[in-house]
Amino acid sequence: MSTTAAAPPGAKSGATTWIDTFLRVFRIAAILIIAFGLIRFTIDFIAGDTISGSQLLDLIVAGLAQGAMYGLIALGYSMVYGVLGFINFAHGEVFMAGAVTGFVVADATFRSGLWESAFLAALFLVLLAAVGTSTITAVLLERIAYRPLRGAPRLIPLITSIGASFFLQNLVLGLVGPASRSYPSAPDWMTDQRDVFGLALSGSRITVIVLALVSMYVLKRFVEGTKTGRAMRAVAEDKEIAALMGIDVDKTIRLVFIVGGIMAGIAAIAWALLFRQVSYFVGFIPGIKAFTAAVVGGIGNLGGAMVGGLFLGTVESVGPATILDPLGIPAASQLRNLVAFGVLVLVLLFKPAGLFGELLGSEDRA
Amino acid sequence: MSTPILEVEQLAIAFGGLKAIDNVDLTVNEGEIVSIIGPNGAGKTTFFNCITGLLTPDSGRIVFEGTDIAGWSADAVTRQGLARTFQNVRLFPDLTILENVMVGRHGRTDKGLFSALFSTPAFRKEEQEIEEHAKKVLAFFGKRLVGYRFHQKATVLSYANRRRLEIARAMATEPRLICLDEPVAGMNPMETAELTGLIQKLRDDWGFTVVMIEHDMNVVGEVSDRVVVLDHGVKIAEGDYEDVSNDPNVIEAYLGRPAEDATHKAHTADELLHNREEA
Amino acid sequence: MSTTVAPPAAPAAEVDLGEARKVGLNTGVGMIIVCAVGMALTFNNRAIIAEYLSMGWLTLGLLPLVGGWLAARREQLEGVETAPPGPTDVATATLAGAFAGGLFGLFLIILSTVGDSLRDVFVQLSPQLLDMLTFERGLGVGLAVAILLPVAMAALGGAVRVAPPRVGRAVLQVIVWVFGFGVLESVVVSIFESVGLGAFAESLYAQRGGLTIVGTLIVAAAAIAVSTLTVTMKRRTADRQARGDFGNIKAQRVRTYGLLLAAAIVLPMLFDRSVNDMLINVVIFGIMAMGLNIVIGLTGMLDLGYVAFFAVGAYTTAVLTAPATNLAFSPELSFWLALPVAVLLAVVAGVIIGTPVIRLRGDYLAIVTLGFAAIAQVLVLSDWFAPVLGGPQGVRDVPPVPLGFTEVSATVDPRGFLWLSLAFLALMIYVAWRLQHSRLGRAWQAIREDETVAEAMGINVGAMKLLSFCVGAVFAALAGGLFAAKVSSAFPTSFELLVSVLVLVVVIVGGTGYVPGVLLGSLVLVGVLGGPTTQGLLAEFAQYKLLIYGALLVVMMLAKPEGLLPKPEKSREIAREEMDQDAWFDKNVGGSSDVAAERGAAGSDTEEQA
Repeated sequence: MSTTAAAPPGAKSGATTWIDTFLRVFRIAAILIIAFGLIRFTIDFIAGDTISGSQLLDLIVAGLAQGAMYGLIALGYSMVYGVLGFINFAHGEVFMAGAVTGFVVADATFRSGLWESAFLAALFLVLLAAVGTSTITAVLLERIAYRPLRGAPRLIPLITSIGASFFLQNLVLGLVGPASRSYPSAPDWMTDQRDVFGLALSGSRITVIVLALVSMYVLKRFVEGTKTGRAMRAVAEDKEIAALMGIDVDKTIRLVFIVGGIMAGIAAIAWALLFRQVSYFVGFIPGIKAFTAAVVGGIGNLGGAMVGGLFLGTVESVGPATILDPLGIPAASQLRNLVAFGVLVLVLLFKPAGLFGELLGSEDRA
Repeated sequence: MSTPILEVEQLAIAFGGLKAIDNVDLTVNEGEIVSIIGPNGAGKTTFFNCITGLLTPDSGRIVFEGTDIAGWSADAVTRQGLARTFQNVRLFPDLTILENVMVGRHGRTDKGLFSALFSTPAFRKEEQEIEEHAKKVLAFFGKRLVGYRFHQKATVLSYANRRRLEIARAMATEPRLICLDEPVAGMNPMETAELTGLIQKLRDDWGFTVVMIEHDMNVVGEVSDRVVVLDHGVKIAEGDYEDVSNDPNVIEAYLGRPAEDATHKAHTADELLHNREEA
Repeated sequence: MSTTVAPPAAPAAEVDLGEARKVGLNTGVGMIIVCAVGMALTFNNRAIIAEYLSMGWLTLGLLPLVGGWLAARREQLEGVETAPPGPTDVATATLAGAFAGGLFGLFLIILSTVGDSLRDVFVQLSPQLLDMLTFERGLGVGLAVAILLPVAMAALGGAVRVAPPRVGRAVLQVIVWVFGFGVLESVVVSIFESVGLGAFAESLYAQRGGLTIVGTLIVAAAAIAVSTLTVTMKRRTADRQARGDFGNIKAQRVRTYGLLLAAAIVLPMLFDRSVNDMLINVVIFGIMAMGLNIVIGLTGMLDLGYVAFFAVGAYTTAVLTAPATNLAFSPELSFWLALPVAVLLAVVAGVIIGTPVIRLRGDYLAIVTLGFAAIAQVLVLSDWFAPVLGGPQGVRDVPPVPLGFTEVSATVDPRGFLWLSLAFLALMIYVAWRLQHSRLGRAWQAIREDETVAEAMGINVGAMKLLSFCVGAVFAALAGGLFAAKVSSAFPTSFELLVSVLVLVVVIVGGTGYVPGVLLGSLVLVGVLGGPTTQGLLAEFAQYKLLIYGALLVVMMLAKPEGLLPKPEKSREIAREEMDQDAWFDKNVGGSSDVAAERGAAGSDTEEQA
């Protein structure tokens, strides 16, 4: 027990315990397994025994597109955590509400013929509907479920948001039924493979990536460049002081949820372009993965959330083929979710503050 | 009376670029009451956090009864015999008063899962011992925390009683050395006088060595065998109260910045409410 | 929430328009949701009072009743004189009802006009719903009911709030009892039949279900009688306790346990198969909830991956006992050998999952444990583990539990299996109780309250948290083993992530940190609404239980975070009194007056001064 290890400043408990030992073994094992998989894959890849180069690239692009969508959802988690200090577990359902409403409108435009005749106009209507629904859902959530709990211990609003998540999911299930519905198919010029820098990329994927990056850029400009954005950052840092400085805290927090809702709505359209299928359940798994992305990027860190999303999407897309397959695991492609959640566990074990550092208010650092 | 119980050598810790504690030496002899004083932000609580294991110092030795405890976890330090209270009174609000103190016995007892499940005679004896010891410690504060109070939640207590309960909880860990972080802060003169007497009793009747951080100079002057002055993380003076209070460095530290000192005096209550923690 | 600023001198009661609008519109939305998710129509098939009141209409009526009750509440601020509760509050409630009715009427108009085209999306807006809401007599009748029902019910709710507590309590009791007897028809009938009073039960209930009018009156009368009786008894007890007479506490305790034991033995004999089967679920999820209660209620760790341990218990038991031909490994052990192995494996799993996460802050711990559970589920379903765990097909043919010369199977003899489960429950209650009242339990609670301070008190926080995590895992594994034996199989679908959440709801609704509360939560939720994969008493709820669970979780956290049956405090005092006492002390320091004794408190035998 009497070690005087030169632990980093501020670190709690310098004495080595068996827990530390266990953690070390756990980390080393994780690194070895991943490294073994990757090396084996590299050897196989060079020998041409595994997926081809173009397949790998395809996986990467698919992963990036999906990751861009995770990133958009992750922004909502990240902002709420940054400002209010709790995980808004129901944010996945905010996304789901947008996706389902988007389907309703898409279906209507398809029936009226607008979808076929003027696809972009129809898509814009769908986008408006999805964004509107997601935003309203997010704002109502804040008003009804979270505002009364402001200042409560972190777990209380988390539990509340889990309840809200189940409620919303099953509300939609009750309203529209359990069936999975399919968005009408986008016109060919949208989905066709295109040649970009010598790579064959599907138009929808490119659209999604571009859409996400543009949204991200606008959001970043908004948060960093405008007065409202500054108010948000002030509220994130210290609500009481912000209020004393004349900032309307309630309004600013509502704005955080509005922005999160808008991003979730855009993500819903991304989902529609990538997968087409929607049901009441589409929010749950993407929600958890987007939270993972937010953690990977460092929670509270907006740029980090987007990069975290892209990273997670890519890893979960190529991970089964490049890490699990070489380890001899049968049917590794079933294990996409395993990779995603594995990333969550590993990031929190190795670097709980994320890859790019957390940006949290003083009271939320703990 | 002159065996050293705690020897701190060249203790240093920095937060970012700020040197919160800068190579501080301190020796506390067994049976002493040592006060640590200094202006706000001098690093007093950080010093406590280092020696009680809540922070790991960057360098330096903390030798407690012959063992270097620098870098130990807080629970190990407490089991070694070094207990503390907190500046901003941190009780277990949802536990009863008696339970709060019984928790303090945790490190001094060892019955585990299976003894508890089978309620072995040894376990029952230990539980009884825990309860009796807790009641004995609470009785130290007269009749304020005993009787019907045992089964009340800690949240019902008045401010002064919370401070008392915190001391009781630290006493229950059977320390050799007890660190009190501003024990009389927020108390009225009557309560302060009473607690000052009790601090002396802690040493005389219970045999604890006491290190305390205190802003109330009357208390410091009355009970301290020795006073240590910290400023900006550096020890600037040490000696008995008379010497220290006439030391030009100390006077400068306090009076050289009259504005800060005045602010401090005016806002003691504020500061308490704000729960400022230097960590 | 616009609290009207009344002049302090002459507080005049005013109708609170803002409050009425807020509550009224919320209530209206609630009623619309109940209709639009199909709940009203589904519930309409079950009669509460035969031919007069269905559960669907009762649900629609209860919402404005609660709304009116809420709207009639006025905040009583200390030091601010407010008008006493009176007719104006009832007026506020009625107004709220009008808002609700207006909104609901609007919904009805929309339903009757464009309902057909909305049905593509909102699948539950069926013509049958319209028929139900209009009593098949046209929109006029429907509108009248849609508006008048909420108004009347909200007014009643307001009146209950304003009325003297005695009356209010009696009215509420009548509603609860009638609802309860209507809903629990099968239980009540089976009890009466088994004690030879079948004829009486038949006079209570109509042929096609639901209470008869006479039955309703009898039940209402019983409710009023019991309500009055409890009020009187409570007052008597309070009087006695005020005199310092607490009675023989030990004898009371023995009596309580005796009664519980008798009930556990006798009641299963009175119930029919389906009720006993339901009670097995209550017990199994009760055991699980008690374990989660240790993890979250005592130690304060939100373990969302709790279901993983349930799965470990169930799969271990199933694999070890079932004569499965499709599995690589099936030793066909006895249940009694498999269960300890399951528990042991759960502890191992607890250490493996727990060690990495216990240093994380609370909310991250919740998500990482959720991640672990998700990983576990992916693995169970994967081809990788299929040779051992059976993949999506699961493990079938788990044999009954051998017991002496016989064997207990839930499908053949639910009663026997219930007794077996109850024995396990008793054991686990004992375990939970012993742990909670030991130094371990105190250490866990200290960690929940303040981790840093707990550490500074000499508690090895990491080890204690891990211990709590593993103890919780043992409870879950035991429940899992019983569950596998009960349903004689283990399927991946029984171990969805939502099981963790449902058990969490049971703990939170019942009362965190208090075993009787948790068991009550299990009885109410798992028993009536249904467990994660099991049905409760009412098949109608099956479709909506998750919706209700979710709403309950939110409502509980907002309104009553301590749960329905929180841990009782031994005595309640307020800080004010405390300060007076301290002031008194300061005037008489060293005085010999024995304040503690004056208060008539028990157990103040250590009065020695240090």
